[in-house]
Amino acid sequence: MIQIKSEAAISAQHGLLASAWDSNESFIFTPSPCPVTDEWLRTLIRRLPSELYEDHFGILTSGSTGTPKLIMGSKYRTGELSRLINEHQQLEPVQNAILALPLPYSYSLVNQWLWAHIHGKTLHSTRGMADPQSLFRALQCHSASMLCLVGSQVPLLRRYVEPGMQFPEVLRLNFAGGPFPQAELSWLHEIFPSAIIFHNYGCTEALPRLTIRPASDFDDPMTLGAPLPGVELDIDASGGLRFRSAFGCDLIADEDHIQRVQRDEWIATGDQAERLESGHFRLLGRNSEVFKRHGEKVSLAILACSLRQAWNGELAFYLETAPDGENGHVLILSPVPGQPAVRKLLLHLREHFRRPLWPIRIEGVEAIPLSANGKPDTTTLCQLPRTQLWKQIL
Amino acid sequence: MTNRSKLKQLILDVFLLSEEEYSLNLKREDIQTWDSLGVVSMAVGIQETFGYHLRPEQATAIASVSDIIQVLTENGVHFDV
Repeated sequence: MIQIKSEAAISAQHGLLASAWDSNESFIFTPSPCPVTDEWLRTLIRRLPSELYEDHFGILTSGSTGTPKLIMGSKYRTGELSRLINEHQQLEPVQNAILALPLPYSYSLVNQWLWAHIHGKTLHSTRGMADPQSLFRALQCHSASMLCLVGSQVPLLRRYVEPGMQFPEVLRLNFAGGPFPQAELSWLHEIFPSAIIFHNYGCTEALPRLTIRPASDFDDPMTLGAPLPGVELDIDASGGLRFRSAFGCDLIADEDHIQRVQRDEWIATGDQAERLESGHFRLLGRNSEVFKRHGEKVSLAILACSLRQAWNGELAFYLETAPDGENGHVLILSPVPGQPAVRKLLLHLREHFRRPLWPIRIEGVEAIPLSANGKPDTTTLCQLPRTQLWKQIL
Repeated sequence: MTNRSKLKQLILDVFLLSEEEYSLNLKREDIQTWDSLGVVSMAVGIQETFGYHLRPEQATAIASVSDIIQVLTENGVHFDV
Protein backbone atom coordinates (compact mmCIF):
# COMPACT_ATOMS: atom_id res chain seq x y z
CA MET A 1 0.00 0.00 0.00
CA ILE A 2 1.52 3.31 -1.01
CA GLN A 3 0.56 6.83 -0.03
CA ILE A 4 0.45 9.58 -2.65
CA LYS A 5 0.44 13.05 -1.14
CA SER A 6 -1.29 15.80 -3.06
CA GLU A 7 1.08 18.68 -3.76
CA ALA A 8 0.61 22.17 -5.11
CA ALA A 9 2.20 21.08 -8.39
CA ILE A 10 -0.67 18.77 -9.22
CA SER A 11 0.36 18.25 -12.82
CA ALA A 12 3.55 16.53 -11.61
CA GLN A 13 1.35 13.93 -9.95
CA HIS A 14 -0.60 12.81 -12.96
CA GLY A 15 2.08 10.32 -13.93
CA LEU A 16 2.44 9.09 -10.37
CA LEU A 17 -1.31 8.60 -10.06
CA ALA A 18 -1.47 6.85 -13.41
CA SER A 19 1.27 4.39 -12.37
CA ALA A 20 -0.43 3.73 -9.06
CA TRP A 21 -3.83 3.26 -10.70
CA ASP A 22 -2.50 0.88 -13.34
CA SER A 23 -0.53 -1.30 -10.91
CA ASN A 24 -2.09 -4.06 -8.79
CA GLU A 25 -0.94 -2.41 -5.60
CA SER A 26 -3.46 -0.35 -3.67
CA PHE A 27 -2.75 3.31 -2.90
CA ILE A 28 -4.14 6.09 -0.74
CA PHE A 29 -4.31 9.61 -2.13
CA THR A 30 -4.13 12.22 0.65
CA PRO A 31 -4.82 15.96 0.41
CA SER A 32 -2.49 18.78 1.30
CA PRO A 33 -2.65 19.91 4.01
CA CYS A 34 -3.57 16.45 5.27
CA PRO A 35 -6.10 16.31 8.14
CA VAL A 36 -4.36 13.25 9.61
CA THR A 37 -0.77 12.41 10.45
CA ASP A 38 1.27 9.81 8.60
CA GLU A 39 1.28 7.76 11.80
CA TRP A 40 -2.56 7.90 11.98
CA LEU A 41 -2.70 6.60 8.43
CA ARG A 42 -0.02 3.92 8.91
CA THR A 43 -1.81 2.61 12.01
CA LEU A 44 -5.08 2.44 10.09
CA ILE A 45 -3.48 0.74 7.09
CA ARG A 46 -2.07 -2.00 9.34
CA ARG A 47 -5.63 -2.77 10.49
CA LEU A 48 -7.12 -3.01 6.98
CA PRO A 49 -8.29 -6.38 5.60
CA SER A 50 -5.51 -7.91 3.51
CA GLU A 51 -7.65 -8.16 0.37
CA LEU A 52 -7.72 -4.37 0.18
CA TYR A 53 -3.94 -4.25 -0.28
CA GLU A 54 -4.48 -4.99 -3.96
CA ASP A 55 -6.59 -3.38 -6.71
CA HIS A 56 -8.05 -0.70 -4.44
CA PHE A 57 -7.52 2.99 -3.79
CA GLY A 58 -8.33 5.19 -0.85
CA ILE A 59 -9.14 8.83 -0.23
CA LEU A 60 -9.81 10.83 2.91
CA THR A 61 -13.00 12.68 3.65
CA SER A 62 -14.53 14.33 6.65
CA GLY A 63 -18.07 14.16 5.26
CA SER A 64 -20.78 15.69 7.40
CA THR A 65 -19.23 14.64 10.71
CA GLY A 66 -15.95 16.56 10.62
CA THR A 67 -14.11 13.36 11.64
CA PRO A 68 -11.49 12.20 9.11
CA LYS A 69 -12.47 8.97 7.41
CA LEU A 70 -10.67 6.75 4.96
CA ILE A 71 -12.84 5.58 2.07
CA MET A 72 -11.55 2.69 -0.03
CA GLY A 73 -12.97 1.43 -3.28
CA SER A 74 -12.19 -0.95 -6.09
CA LYS A 75 -10.20 0.52 -8.99
CA TYR A 76 -12.07 -1.73 -11.40
CA ARG A 77 -15.57 -0.77 -10.28
CA THR A 78 -14.73 2.94 -10.05
CA GLY A 79 -13.40 2.66 -13.58
CA GLU A 80 -16.75 1.17 -14.61
CA LEU A 81 -18.50 4.13 -13.01
CA SER A 82 -16.29 6.50 -14.99
CA ARG A 83 -17.37 4.71 -18.19
CA LEU A 84 -21.00 5.04 -17.12
CA ILE A 85 -20.54 8.77 -16.51
CA ASN A 86 -18.91 9.05 -19.94
CA GLU A 87 -21.95 7.41 -21.49
CA HIS A 88 -24.58 9.37 -19.54
CA GLN A 89 -22.96 12.72 -20.23
CA GLN A 90 -22.08 11.85 -23.83
CA LEU A 91 -18.49 12.88 -23.22
CA GLU A 92 -16.99 11.51 -26.44
CA PRO A 93 -16.56 14.96 -28.06
CA VAL A 94 -14.81 16.29 -24.96
CA GLN A 95 -11.02 16.21 -25.29
CA ASN A 96 -9.82 18.16 -22.25
CA ALA A 97 -10.72 18.23 -18.58
CA ILE A 98 -9.97 21.51 -16.82
CA LEU A 99 -9.30 20.95 -13.13
CA ALA A 100 -10.58 23.74 -10.86
CA LEU A 101 -11.02 21.76 -7.64
CA PRO A 102 -8.49 19.92 -5.45
CA LEU A 103 -7.58 16.61 -7.06
CA PRO A 104 -8.00 14.52 -3.86
CA TYR A 105 -11.76 15.25 -3.93
CA SER A 106 -13.54 12.12 -5.16
CA TYR A 107 -15.49 14.37 -7.56
CA SER A 108 -12.32 15.66 -9.26
CA LEU A 109 -10.50 12.36 -9.05
CA VAL A 110 -13.23 10.26 -10.68
CA ASN A 111 -15.12 12.75 -12.89
CA GLN A 112 -11.96 14.33 -14.25
CA TRP A 113 -8.61 12.61 -13.57
CA LEU A 114 -9.83 9.03 -13.91
CA TRP A 115 -12.11 9.87 -16.81
CA ALA A 116 -9.18 11.48 -18.64
CA HIS A 117 -6.91 8.56 -17.77
CA ILE A 118 -9.31 5.86 -18.93
CA HIS A 119 -10.52 7.59 -22.06
CA GLY A 120 -7.18 8.94 -23.24
CA LYS A 121 -8.11 12.59 -22.71
CA THR A 122 -5.95 15.38 -21.29
CA LEU A 123 -6.25 16.85 -17.82
CA HIS A 124 -5.13 20.44 -17.29
CA SER A 125 -4.52 21.57 -13.73
CA THR A 126 -5.35 25.07 -12.57
CA ARG A 127 -5.55 26.65 -9.13
CA GLY A 128 -9.27 27.17 -9.63
CA MET A 129 -10.73 30.29 -8.09
CA ALA A 130 -7.48 30.86 -6.16
CA ASP A 131 -6.09 32.14 -9.47
CA PRO A 132 -9.11 32.89 -11.67
CA GLN A 133 -7.08 34.40 -14.51
CA SER A 134 -5.13 31.18 -15.04
CA LEU A 135 -8.39 29.24 -14.93
CA PHE A 136 -9.92 31.55 -17.53
CA ARG A 137 -6.84 31.18 -19.76
CA ALA A 138 -7.13 27.38 -19.54
CA LEU A 139 -10.83 27.57 -20.41
CA GLN A 140 -10.05 29.71 -23.44
CA CYS A 141 -6.95 27.82 -24.65
CA HIS A 142 -8.13 24.22 -24.52
CA SER A 143 -10.77 23.23 -27.01
CA ALA A 144 -13.70 20.90 -26.38
CA SER A 145 -13.36 20.89 -22.61
CA MET A 146 -15.17 19.75 -19.48
CA LEU A 147 -15.19 21.67 -16.21
CA CYS A 148 -16.28 20.47 -12.76
CA LEU A 149 -17.31 23.06 -10.18
CA VAL A 150 -19.14 23.27 -6.88
CA GLY A 151 -21.99 25.75 -6.48
CA SER A 152 -20.13 27.84 -3.91
CA GLN A 153 -17.57 28.77 -6.59
CA VAL A 154 -20.18 30.58 -8.68
CA PRO A 155 -20.22 33.83 -6.64
CA LEU A 156 -16.44 33.97 -7.09
CA LEU A 157 -16.82 33.27 -10.79
CA ARG A 158 -19.30 36.13 -11.00
CA ARG A 159 -16.86 38.40 -9.23
CA TYR A 160 -13.99 37.72 -11.63
CA VAL A 161 -15.67 37.15 -14.99
CA GLU A 162 -15.64 40.47 -16.83
CA PRO A 163 -18.67 41.66 -18.79
CA GLY A 164 -18.80 40.03 -22.21
CA MET A 165 -16.38 37.24 -21.29
CA GLN A 166 -17.43 33.82 -22.57
CA PHE A 167 -15.96 30.31 -22.62
CA PRO A 168 -17.44 28.67 -25.71
CA GLU A 169 -14.90 25.84 -25.66
CA VAL A 170 -16.48 24.32 -22.56
CA LEU A 171 -18.85 21.60 -23.75
CA ARG A 172 -19.80 20.08 -20.39
CA LEU A 173 -20.13 21.93 -17.09
CA ASN A 174 -20.68 19.79 -13.99
CA PHE A 175 -21.91 20.81 -10.57
CA ALA A 176 -21.81 18.59 -7.50
CA GLY A 177 -20.72 18.72 -3.89
CA GLY A 178 -23.31 21.19 -2.61
CA PRO A 179 -26.43 23.10 -3.60
CA PHE A 180 -26.88 23.54 -7.35
CA PRO A 181 -26.69 27.26 -8.30
CA GLN A 182 -30.12 27.37 -9.95
CA ALA A 183 -30.47 31.16 -9.55
CA GLU A 184 -27.34 31.60 -11.70
CA LEU A 185 -28.31 29.14 -14.42
CA SER A 186 -29.16 31.77 -17.04
CA TRP A 187 -25.91 33.58 -16.41
CA LEU A 188 -23.94 30.32 -16.58
CA HIS A 189 -25.51 29.60 -19.97
CA GLU A 190 -24.38 33.07 -21.10
CA ILE A 191 -20.74 32.59 -20.18
CA PHE A 192 -20.64 28.91 -21.18
CA PRO A 193 -22.76 29.14 -24.34
CA SER A 194 -21.80 25.71 -25.72
CA ALA A 195 -22.00 23.76 -22.47
CA ILE A 196 -24.56 21.24 -21.36
CA ILE A 197 -24.83 21.92 -17.64
CA PHE A 198 -25.24 18.92 -15.35
CA HIS A 199 -26.64 18.69 -11.85
CA ASN A 200 -24.85 15.72 -10.23
CA TYR A 201 -25.41 14.17 -6.87
CA GLY A 202 -23.27 11.79 -4.88
CA CYS A 203 -20.93 11.51 -1.93
CA THR A 204 -17.43 10.25 -1.24
CA GLU A 205 -18.75 6.90 0.02
CA ALA A 206 -20.41 6.41 -3.38
CA LEU A 207 -17.06 7.23 -5.12
CA PRO A 208 -18.83 9.52 -5.86
CA ARG A 209 -21.69 9.58 -8.33
CA LEU A 210 -25.26 8.49 -7.62
CA THR A 211 -27.33 10.62 -10.00
CA ILE A 212 -26.71 12.76 -13.07
CA ARG A 213 -29.23 14.97 -14.77
CA PRO A 214 -29.11 17.91 -17.15
CA ALA A 215 -29.83 21.06 -15.15
CA SER A 216 -32.67 21.84 -17.54
CA ASP A 217 -34.68 18.78 -16.45
CA PHE A 218 -36.16 20.46 -13.36
CA ASP A 219 -36.53 24.04 -12.15
CA ASP A 220 -36.16 22.88 -8.57
CA PRO A 221 -32.42 22.57 -7.79
CA MET A 222 -33.10 20.23 -4.88
CA THR A 223 -34.72 17.56 -7.06
CA LEU A 224 -32.29 14.81 -7.98
CA GLY A 225 -32.14 12.92 -11.24
CA ALA A 226 -32.90 9.23 -11.48
CA PRO A 227 -30.26 6.97 -9.90
CA LEU A 228 -27.63 5.68 -12.33
CA PRO A 229 -27.96 2.04 -13.41
CA GLY A 230 -26.62 -0.07 -10.54
CA VAL A 231 -27.54 2.56 -7.95
CA GLU A 232 -30.54 2.57 -5.60
CA LEU A 233 -31.70 5.42 -3.38
CA ASP A 234 -33.96 5.19 -0.35
CA ILE A 235 -34.95 7.17 2.73
CA ASP A 236 -34.37 5.74 6.20
CA ALA A 237 -36.66 6.08 9.21
CA SER A 238 -35.09 9.39 10.28
CA GLY A 239 -35.46 10.99 6.84
CA GLY A 240 -31.83 10.39 5.86
CA LEU A 241 -31.08 9.64 2.21
CA ARG A 242 -29.17 6.37 1.75
CA PHE A 243 -27.84 4.44 -1.21
CA ARG A 244 -26.71 1.06 -2.46
CA SER A 245 -24.34 1.17 -5.38
CA ALA A 246 -22.52 -1.35 -7.51
CA PHE A 247 -19.76 1.27 -7.71
CA GLY A 248 -19.66 2.40 -4.07
CA CYS A 249 -16.87 2.01 -1.56
CA ASP A 250 -15.69 -1.27 -0.01
CA LEU A 251 -14.58 0.19 3.28
CA ILE A 252 -15.21 3.15 5.55
CA ALA A 253 -12.68 3.54 8.35
CA ASP A 254 -11.85 6.05 11.02
CA GLU A 255 -9.67 5.96 14.10
CA ASP A 256 -12.13 3.78 16.00
CA HIS A 257 -14.05 1.72 13.46
CA ILE A 258 -13.47 -0.18 10.28
CA GLN A 259 -16.65 -0.90 8.36
CA ARG A 260 -16.41 -3.38 5.52
CA VAL A 261 -19.20 -2.46 3.11
CA GLN A 262 -21.15 -5.25 1.43
CA ARG A 263 -22.70 -4.67 -2.00
CA ASP A 264 -26.26 -5.01 -0.66
CA GLU A 265 -25.64 -2.69 2.27
CA TRP A 266 -27.37 0.69 2.58
CA ILE A 267 -24.98 3.58 3.19
CA ALA A 268 -26.03 6.97 4.55
CA THR A 269 -25.28 9.93 2.29
CA GLY A 270 -25.33 12.41 5.19
CA ASP A 271 -28.25 14.28 3.59
CA GLN A 272 -31.92 14.50 4.47
CA ALA A 273 -34.42 14.08 1.65
CA GLU A 274 -38.05 13.42 0.81
CA ARG A 275 -39.54 11.24 -1.92
CA LEU A 276 -41.76 13.10 -4.35
CA GLU A 277 -44.93 11.67 -5.89
CA SER A 278 -43.04 11.48 -9.19
CA GLY A 279 -40.65 9.00 -7.55
CA HIS A 280 -37.76 11.45 -7.61
CA PHE A 281 -35.93 12.38 -4.44
CA ARG A 282 -35.77 15.94 -3.21
CA LEU A 283 -32.89 17.00 -1.00
CA LEU A 284 -33.60 18.90 2.20
CA GLY A 285 -29.95 19.52 3.09
CA ARG A 286 -27.11 18.04 5.09
CA ASN A 287 -28.11 16.30 8.32
CA SER A 288 -26.58 19.22 10.18
CA GLU A 289 -28.56 21.72 8.08
CA VAL A 290 -32.00 20.27 8.66
CA PHE A 291 -33.66 20.69 12.03
CA LYS A 292 -37.05 21.22 13.61
CA ARG A 293 -38.26 24.54 14.94
CA HIS A 294 -41.71 24.77 16.55
CA GLY A 295 -42.37 21.31 15.08
CA GLU A 296 -41.63 22.35 11.49
CA LYS A 297 -38.73 20.99 9.49
CA VAL A 298 -36.30 23.72 8.51
CA SER A 299 -33.95 23.04 5.59
CA LEU A 300 -31.23 25.66 5.28
CA ALA A 301 -30.40 24.47 1.77
CA ILE A 302 -33.96 25.07 0.56
CA LEU A 303 -34.08 28.44 2.33
CA ALA A 304 -30.80 29.46 0.70
CA CYS A 305 -32.03 28.47 -2.77
CA SER A 306 -35.17 30.49 -2.36
CA LEU A 307 -33.54 33.55 -0.79
CA ARG A 308 -31.14 33.81 -3.71
CA GLN A 309 -34.14 34.89 -5.80
CA ALA A 310 -34.36 38.00 -3.65
CA TRP A 311 -30.69 38.62 -2.87
CA ASN A 312 -27.85 38.91 -5.38
CA GLY A 313 -25.02 38.93 -2.87
CA GLU A 314 -23.58 36.05 -0.90
CA LEU A 315 -25.38 34.41 1.99
CA ALA A 316 -24.73 31.83 4.67
CA PHE A 317 -26.31 30.56 7.88
CA TYR A 318 -25.15 29.62 11.30
CA LEU A 319 -27.14 27.82 13.96
CA GLU A 320 -27.95 29.11 17.41
CA THR A 321 -30.41 28.35 20.20
CA ALA A 322 -33.13 31.00 19.93
CA PRO A 323 -34.36 33.04 22.92
CA ASP A 324 -37.51 30.85 22.91
CA GLY A 325 -35.31 27.79 23.57
CA GLU A 326 -35.88 26.31 20.12
CA ASN A 327 -33.23 25.61 17.48
CA GLY A 328 -32.77 28.61 15.23
CA HIS A 329 -30.73 29.93 12.34
CA VAL A 330 -29.10 33.28 11.68
CA LEU A 331 -28.94 34.53 8.09
CA ILE A 332 -25.69 36.26 7.11
CA LEU A 333 -25.56 38.56 4.08
CA SER A 334 -22.53 39.93 2.29
CA PRO A 335 -21.88 42.69 1.40
CA VAL A 336 -23.86 44.48 4.12
CA PRO A 337 -27.14 45.50 2.45
CA GLY A 338 -29.21 48.63 2.95
CA GLN A 339 -32.67 48.54 4.50
CA PRO A 340 -34.54 48.31 1.16
CA ALA A 341 -32.69 45.07 0.31
CA VAL A 342 -33.35 43.68 3.79
CA ARG A 343 -37.03 44.57 3.47
CA LYS A 344 -37.16 42.83 0.08
CA LEU A 345 -35.76 39.67 1.69
CA LEU A 346 -38.23 39.89 4.56
CA LEU A 347 -41.13 40.17 2.12
CA HIS A 348 -39.77 37.15 0.27
CA LEU A 349 -39.63 35.20 3.54
CA ARG A 350 -43.20 36.17 4.35
CA GLU A 351 -44.42 35.17 0.92
CA HIS A 352 -42.68 31.79 0.75
CA PHE A 353 -42.11 30.49 4.29
CA ARG A 354 -44.04 30.14 7.52
CA ARG A 355 -42.76 31.93 10.61
CA PRO A 356 -40.81 28.98 12.12
CA LEU A 357 -38.68 28.96 8.99
CA TRP A 358 -37.75 32.63 9.27
CA PRO A 359 -34.24 33.31 10.62
CA ILE A 360 -34.02 34.52 14.19
CA ARG A 361 -31.76 37.35 12.99
CA ILE A 362 -30.37 38.76 9.77
CA GLU A 363 -26.80 40.02 10.01
CA GLY A 364 -24.40 41.56 7.51
CA VAL A 365 -20.64 41.10 7.07
CA GLU A 366 -18.20 42.64 4.61
CA ALA A 367 -17.20 39.22 3.25
CA ILE A 368 -18.19 35.67 4.12
CA PRO A 369 -15.04 33.67 4.94
CA LEU A 370 -14.71 30.46 2.97
CA SER A 371 -13.04 27.19 3.91
CA ALA A 372 -10.60 25.42 1.59
CA ASN A 373 -13.41 23.64 -0.26
CA GLY A 374 -15.18 26.93 -1.00
CA LYS A 375 -17.99 26.51 1.53
CA PRO A 376 -18.77 29.19 4.18
CA ASP A 377 -16.49 28.88 7.19
CA THR A 378 -19.07 29.39 9.94
CA THR A 379 -16.54 29.07 12.77
CA THR A 380 -14.54 32.06 11.48
CA LEU A 381 -17.75 33.81 10.48
CA CYS A 382 -19.04 33.83 14.06
CA GLN A 383 -15.84 35.56 15.23
CA LEU A 384 -16.19 38.46 12.75
CA PRO A 385 -17.85 41.79 13.59
CA ARG A 386 -21.39 41.61 12.21
CA THR A 387 -24.09 44.25 11.69
CA GLN A 388 -27.54 43.28 12.92
CA LEU A 389 -30.05 44.14 10.20
CA TRP A 390 -33.23 42.59 11.60
CA LYS A 391 -34.26 40.29 14.39
CA GLN A 392 -37.31 38.19 14.98
CA ILE A 393 -39.02 39.16 18.23
CA LEU A 394 -39.35 35.95 20.20
CA MET B 1 -38.45 58.39 17.49
CA THR B 2 -42.15 58.90 18.30
CA ASN B 3 -44.28 56.11 19.73
CA ARG B 4 -46.22 56.09 16.46
CA SER B 5 -42.97 55.42 14.53
CA LYS B 6 -41.88 52.80 17.04
CA LEU B 7 -45.18 50.98 16.67
CA LYS B 8 -44.96 51.12 12.89
CA GLN B 9 -41.43 49.66 12.92
CA LEU B 10 -42.53 46.95 15.34
CA ILE B 11 -45.48 45.93 13.16
CA LEU B 12 -43.30 45.92 10.02
CA ASP B 13 -40.68 43.73 11.72
CA VAL B 14 -43.07 41.32 13.42
CA PHE B 15 -45.32 40.68 10.44
CA LEU B 16 -42.74 41.37 7.69
CA LEU B 17 -44.78 44.09 6.01
CA SER B 18 -43.67 46.68 3.48
CA GLU B 19 -44.03 50.38 4.34
CA GLU B 20 -46.82 50.66 1.77
CA GLU B 21 -48.86 47.96 3.45
CA TYR B 22 -48.85 49.64 6.84
CA SER B 23 -51.73 51.81 8.00
CA LEU B 24 -53.57 52.46 11.21
CA ASN B 25 -56.56 50.71 9.68
CA LEU B 26 -54.61 47.50 9.15
CA LYS B 27 -56.59 44.54 10.47
CA ARG B 28 -55.53 41.09 11.61
CA GLU B 29 -57.51 39.46 8.83
CA ASP B 30 -55.51 41.48 6.27
CA ILE B 31 -52.21 39.96 7.38
CA GLN B 32 -51.52 36.27 6.83
CA THR B 33 -48.50 36.41 9.16
CA TRP B 34 -50.66 37.63 12.09
CA ASP B 35 -50.95 34.02 13.20
CA SER B 36 -50.67 32.49 16.69
CA LEU B 37 -46.88 32.80 16.77
CA GLY B 38 -47.30 36.32 15.40
CA VAL B 39 -49.56 37.19 18.34
CA VAL B 40 -46.87 36.04 20.78
CA SER B 41 -44.17 37.88 18.86
CA MET B 42 -46.25 41.07 18.84
CA ALA B 43 -46.90 40.84 22.59
CA VAL B 44 -43.18 40.39 23.31
CA GLY B 45 -42.39 43.29 20.97
CA ILE B 46 -44.88 45.56 22.73
CA GLN B 47 -43.31 44.69 26.08
CA GLU B 48 -39.79 45.36 24.75
CA THR B 49 -40.74 48.60 22.96
CA PHE B 50 -43.34 50.17 25.26
CA GLY B 51 -42.78 48.36 28.55
CA TYR B 52 -46.40 47.21 28.71
CA HIS B 53 -47.12 43.54 29.30
CA LEU B 54 -50.17 42.44 27.35
CA ARG B 55 -52.17 39.75 29.11
CA PRO B 56 -52.77 36.70 26.89
CA GLU B 57 -56.48 37.50 26.52
CA GLN B 58 -55.64 41.09 25.53
CA ALA B 59 -53.09 39.93 22.97
CA THR B 60 -55.49 37.51 21.32
CA ALA B 61 -58.34 40.06 21.35
CA ILE B 62 -56.37 42.65 19.43
CA ALA B 63 -57.68 42.69 15.88
CA SER B 64 -56.08 45.79 14.35
CA VAL B 65 -53.30 48.34 14.70
CA SER B 66 -55.93 50.75 16.09
CA ASP B 67 -56.69 48.24 18.85
CA ILE B 68 -53.01 48.19 19.85
CA ILE B 69 -52.96 51.98 20.08
CA GLN B 70 -56.15 51.94 22.14
CA VAL B 71 -54.83 49.34 24.61
CA LEU B 72 -51.52 51.14 24.99
CA THR B 73 -53.15 54.55 25.34
CA GLU B 74 -55.44 53.21 28.06
CA ASN B 75 -52.32 52.02 29.84
CA GLY B 76 -50.40 55.27 29.80
CA VAL B 77 -48.54 55.14 26.49
CA HIS B 78 -49.10 58.35 24.58
CA PHE B 79 -49.44 58.54 20.81
CA ASP B 80 -49.24 61.85 18.98
CA VAL B 81 -52.42 62.76 17.16
